[in-house]
Amino acid sequence: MKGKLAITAACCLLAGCAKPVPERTLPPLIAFNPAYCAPSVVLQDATPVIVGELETPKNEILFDESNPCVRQQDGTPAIYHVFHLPAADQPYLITVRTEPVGPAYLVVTADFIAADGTVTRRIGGDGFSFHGISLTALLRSRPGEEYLVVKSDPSRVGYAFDQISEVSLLYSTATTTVVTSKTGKTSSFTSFSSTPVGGSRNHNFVFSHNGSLHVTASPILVNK
Amino acid sequence: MKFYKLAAVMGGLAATITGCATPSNPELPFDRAQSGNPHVIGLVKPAVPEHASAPIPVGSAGGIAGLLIAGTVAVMRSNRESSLETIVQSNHFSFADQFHTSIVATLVAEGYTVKEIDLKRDGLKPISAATIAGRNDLGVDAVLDISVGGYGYVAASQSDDAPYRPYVIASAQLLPVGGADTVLMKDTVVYNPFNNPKSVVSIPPDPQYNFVHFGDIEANPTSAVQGMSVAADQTGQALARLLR
Repeated sequence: MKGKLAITAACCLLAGCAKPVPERTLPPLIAFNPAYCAPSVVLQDATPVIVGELETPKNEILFDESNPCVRQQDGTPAIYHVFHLPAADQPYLITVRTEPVGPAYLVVTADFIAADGTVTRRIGGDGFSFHGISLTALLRSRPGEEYLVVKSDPSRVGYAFDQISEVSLLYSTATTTVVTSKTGKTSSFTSFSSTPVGGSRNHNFVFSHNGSLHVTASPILVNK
Repeated sequence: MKFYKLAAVMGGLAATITGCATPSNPELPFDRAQSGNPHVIGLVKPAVPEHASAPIPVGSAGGIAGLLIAGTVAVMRSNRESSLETIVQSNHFSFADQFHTSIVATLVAEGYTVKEIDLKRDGLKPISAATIAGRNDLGVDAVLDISVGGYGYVAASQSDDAPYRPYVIASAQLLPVGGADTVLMKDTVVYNPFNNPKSVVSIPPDPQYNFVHFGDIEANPTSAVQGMSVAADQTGQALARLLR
């Protein structure tokens, strides 16, 4: 009985018959009341970035109206989050990645800021490119850059678009055969087979002030 | 034999991308200011497979276009590729020319001077940084080396809800000539990626060029060629924009 249960469990795992986790979804935030926005970015309480720490759900920053907001020079409001970059002897890579949560696709810019508050580099929309369905900017660290301020980008918020993503996977199944010999002795063996499955999906996204953000840092392992 | 060669190339590319072959970064961004503001880019003739391909890949989650294709499927694939080659030839389409033109035009638009340079390469393998280091005689500030792993049409499966769409897989690296055995930039661009890859620059396919069955490609050769042309153009632009 225990064996059967184990086999069933294994088959379920392999065949993917476990109940799927429902996908998160957020309605796109394309406008909000700017009354609560501060006139400048507050660098205190910055989230530390650690070189080598992988992207996980734990270090995800979920942008929404509960995050701080700044009124930019052109008067547009932007939700933002401040990261404290590590001081390191060697340059490292910084990844800024946003991902859609349902139709809400966070679109951002990023400013590098020195300890004295001077903006040293601005990464605009053209610094980001699609990596799968995420938007990613990959950057090399520079000496003297202490903070990274990631802001939602009002100039692109509201843009709706479709995107095709393709999936092609091996769908594995396990088959257990029980053989009973003339002497009544039983033996069993399990074989595994794989079937290719695939398809494409059309996503409807809207660039928005809300959504998922990860900022991670990784070492430059071999620069060649 | 051609299938195994391509599988080997794609396998090597996948290993590089997923980082399981050597402990190196799958992507290294270009920092123009910290790279000495190179102005003259030496463009090595991109390595491009001779013929378009039409695989039905099977991959792992997070990976790129897959590599495991059953023997029976390989036979059908061979038929598809013969047909694709006929379409390409009869429409006088050159992926390599379109791709090259797009790269050069985008580099010039980004403010670079492009100088074509002739360097011997080993098939589709990237040129080693050591080969370029110290080659001040080339008369360029940096060398851009581009290899195309594959192009053509691809479908996620043989079912009707997985249409054939154009695809391109291309890798690029920018090498300094000043003597440093290093890489200024390294990345891979995939037009029509599979399985949501996070370590490649990806270009979602143009929905205008969907062909439910391979026979639809054969029935609409002009449109099929246009699809490959758009893919070549956009991939070339994306590769050149890595030098922003």
